[in-house]
Parts: sequence; structure tokens; C-alpha cells
Amino acid sequence: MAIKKFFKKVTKFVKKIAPVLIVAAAVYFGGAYLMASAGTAGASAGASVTYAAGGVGEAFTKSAGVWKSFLGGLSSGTASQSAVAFAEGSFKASQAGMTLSGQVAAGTSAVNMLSTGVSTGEAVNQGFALADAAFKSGGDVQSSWDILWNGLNDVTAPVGEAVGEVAGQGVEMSVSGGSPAEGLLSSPVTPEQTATLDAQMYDQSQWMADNTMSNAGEVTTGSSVSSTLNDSANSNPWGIISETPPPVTEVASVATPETSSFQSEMMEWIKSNQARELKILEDQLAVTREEIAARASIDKWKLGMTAGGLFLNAFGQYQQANAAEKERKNQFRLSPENRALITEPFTYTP
Amino acid sequence: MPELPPEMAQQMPPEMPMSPDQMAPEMPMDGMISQAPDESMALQMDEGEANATATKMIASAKKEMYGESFDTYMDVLQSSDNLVEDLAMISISLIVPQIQAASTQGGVPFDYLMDVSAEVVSEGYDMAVQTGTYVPSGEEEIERNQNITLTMVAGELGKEFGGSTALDQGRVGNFIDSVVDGAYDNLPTQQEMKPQMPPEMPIGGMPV
Repeated sequence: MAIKKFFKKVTKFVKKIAPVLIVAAAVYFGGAYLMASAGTAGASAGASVTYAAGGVGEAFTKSAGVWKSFLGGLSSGTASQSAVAFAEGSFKASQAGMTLSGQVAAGTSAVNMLSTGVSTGEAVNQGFALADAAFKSGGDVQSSWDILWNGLNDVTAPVGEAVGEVAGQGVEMSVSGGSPAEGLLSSPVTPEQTATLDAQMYDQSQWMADNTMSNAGEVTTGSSVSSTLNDSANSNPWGIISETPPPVTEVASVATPETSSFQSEMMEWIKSNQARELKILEDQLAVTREEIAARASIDKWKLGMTAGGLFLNAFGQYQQANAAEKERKNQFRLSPENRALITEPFTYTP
Repeated sequence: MPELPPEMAQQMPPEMPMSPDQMAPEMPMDGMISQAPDESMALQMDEGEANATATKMIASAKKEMYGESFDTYMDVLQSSDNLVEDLAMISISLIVPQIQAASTQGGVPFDYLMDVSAEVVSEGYDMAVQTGTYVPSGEEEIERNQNITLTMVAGELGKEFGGSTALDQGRVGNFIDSVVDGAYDNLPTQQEMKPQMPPEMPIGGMPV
């Protein structure tokens, strides 16, 4: 046959998939099944479910955590990306000698990390690191999972708070000098810190608005431009202008406003925050591109599956018709009455 | 994927796969699954019929892969931008008709489905390597890619089955919980695994 000519010598390192990886994939199968069984509405509702650390007696005590890990892929259309993250996370854990439960933990953790907006490779690394740390520090499997759930809750859930947490962590990381990954994994921002940052952001906005208004007012008056910000009696760290009008000098002069060290820090913080937001937007754009590619791929899969189904239908009908025809012929040949009718071999002469 | 009739759902085994220490030793049988007794222990069930059906599904998928669909798959692989995804698509296109065929005959061997998927995925990679459309750099790469492809297939099948009532949510949830609880942690790790060679494929496809 043509196949024989086409084949090269078989390369002898194609091997079967290891049993542990098959079981890990079976867990993914189960997660996808539970996710799809819940339907779109159920899956969306489930996205707000937090992990039940040690919640004995609850339905889906642990599988809920695994199940939740797939919701990101369902809602954003990045099922393919989720599969890659899970497979790579579990494989990396298997290479590191972790147990099967640890491998599933690493895969689950990696998929969850996707929701933080990082790349797939980063999600795998961070997910594996989190699971590895949890399973090394936990005394048994249960406590290891508890540690992991808590870590994942800090990093990824609830989704609505994730943006605020990431923004806050950026400040803390810049102070401590830690890497972003370390900040994500080990430096969650407390609500008090978030509130403080919010207040600072509000005050800074107020300062900028007031100064803008003040400058506008000075331009419209036109006749003289006075320095008010360097007036120690009227200036304040927030730049709020006093209600008393500034004294007008004879010679117009513009003095550079003094900025306190705190204001400098705030400006630096704003600049770094803007840079970080830009980075997040760029990352989101990259994720969106990946989603589009993934959707295109999924569409291709569906086409293939549909084609397979259509082919099967057509093939099945052909098989049925063929079998019925064979049966009819057999009955005709085996029937004694019919056999008696055949007195001589049938010949066909066109 | 069409929904299975209720009587088929009733034929489902009452329990999800047992943990390894609960399982009885598998009886040696002819067929690809029984050639590796410890393969996919999580999904073993002591049902000869299911095993036979699964083996038939694998054989039919391989026959299709090297038979009528061979040229089509070669076109796909040769023009592939992402071999891992395309092999997943090929595997699904091979497995889904087998599942549909099994559902109309003796029932779908759900507990063997991952075995079947792994065999088909592995065979797909074998085909890609043999035909030169995929040249892996080493064992680890091909193992990683096979794992990703299998996970993609598993996810797609899981979503497909999720739309039907063929599987019981409780069973699936219990299975996940048992894995997470460490009931399968005594399976050999990657380092302990011995490399397994795929069965030799007869030229011209599997015998009917």
C-alpha cells in the first residue's frame, strides 16, 4: 500500500502517556463535565464561589475548587489555554516528583493563575510554585490543599477584587523590592492598606483638580501672575488654595511651587501606577489575541466534529442500507421456496 | 453529541473507578488496554464488555486514522500551525464517531474513555512522527505535548458529555475528590515509569 512507502523508520521514542497523566487528564475531564453540566448560568454563578478550605460535608468540597478552575476558561473562551495550563502544570509537578494529588493541585493552581491576567507560561510557573510550596509545607494532603485554597483565594478570588489587589500589591512590591511573582504569591494587601491607598488616590486627584482650577484662574485674570503656592501661609501639602486672595506684587513673577517629599512620592506612585495600568492593558490585549486564536481553533474543532458527525450519519445510513440489502439477499438465497425457483445459474447478457 | 437513551444511563456502573488498593487484579485479555495492566488505573472497571468495546473503539479509530482519513489528516498536519491543537482535533474527530457508534451498540464505556483517548492521542503522535510531519526534539517534549493534547481532548469530551445526562455528577465529583484526597497517590511517578513502546501497527491498518 501507499502507506508502506510513505512511512519512515519508526522513531522509537514515541511512548504512551503515563498513567498518572491520564488520571490527571481525567480530572480535567471531570471538571469540564461538571462545568458544562452546570450550564452557562450556573457556571457564571459559580465564578463567585470561594474555595471551601476544609469544609467537610459540603457538596463539591474539593472538586468545587477544581471545578472553579475551569470557569475562567469557560467564561473567557480560553478553554484551550486552560487545558495547556493544566497539562503543563501537572506535568511540571510530575517531573518534580510530586504525587498525583500534587500534580492536580499544580494544574488547578496554574489554571487559576490565568485569571490574574498573566501569560500562560507565567501562570504555569506561579501555579506550580504555589502548589509546590503548599504540598511541602502541609503535613498531609488535606492540610496541603487547605494551604493551597487559601493561597488561591488570596491571589485570584473574588474576581471583582482582583484588580484592586493587584494595583495595591504593586505599591507594596515597589517598597519591598520583591518581584511581582513574590508579591502575588506572598504579599496580599489587607483591606486597611487598600483603604489607605484609595484615600491617597482621592487626595491626589483633589490636589490636581484644585491646582488646575487655580492655574486657569490665574491665566484668565491676565494682568498679573502671582505666586501663591510658595506662600507658606497659604500653601499646604495638598495644594488646596486658601479662600483669602493672595497679595498682588508689583512685578509679576512665577515661582516654582515647592513640592513636599510626600508629593514627590505620590507623583512617582501615579507614574508607576499609570505604567502598570498600561502594562495590564497590554497584557489584556495579548490575552484577547490569544482568546481570538483559541476561539478560531475551537471553531475549527467544532467544524471537524460536525463533519465527523455528518460523516458518521452518512456512513451509518450506508451501512444500514448495505446490511439490509445483504439480509434480503441472504433470505432470498436461503429460502427453500426461493431456492427451488433457481433452476439454473443466473447469467447476465447485456 | 446525541444524548444517550435512559436505559443506557442505567447501565452505568454504580461507582466511579475504585482506588488502586481496592481494585482487583486485572484479568489478562487480548487487546491494547490489557497489554499494560497498570495503565489508567483510575478508570479501570471490571467489565469485560466495556473493555472489549474500548478496545474495539481504539482499533476502529486506528483503522480510520491509517485508512480513509489518512490523507485528510496528513493535509492537516502538514499545514499545521499548532500541531498540539490539531492533533487534539484529529483525536476528537476519531473518538467522537466511535463514541456515537458505541452508544448505538452496547453502550459507551465511560470508565475507559480516557484510556481510549490516550491511545488515540498517542497513536496520532506516532503517526505524525512516523510520517515526518512532527520531529520532536526529545522524549520530554513529546510527552509534554501528548499530555497537553490529551488534556484538550478530555476537556472537549467533558464539555460534550456535560450536555447530556449520561453521567452522574455525584460520581464525577466523588472521583475528583478521591484523586484530590490522595487515593491515587501511590501510582508510579514519572521518574519511576518505564518507557513503554506502542504496539506495532500492522501495515494497512488493524484487522477487522
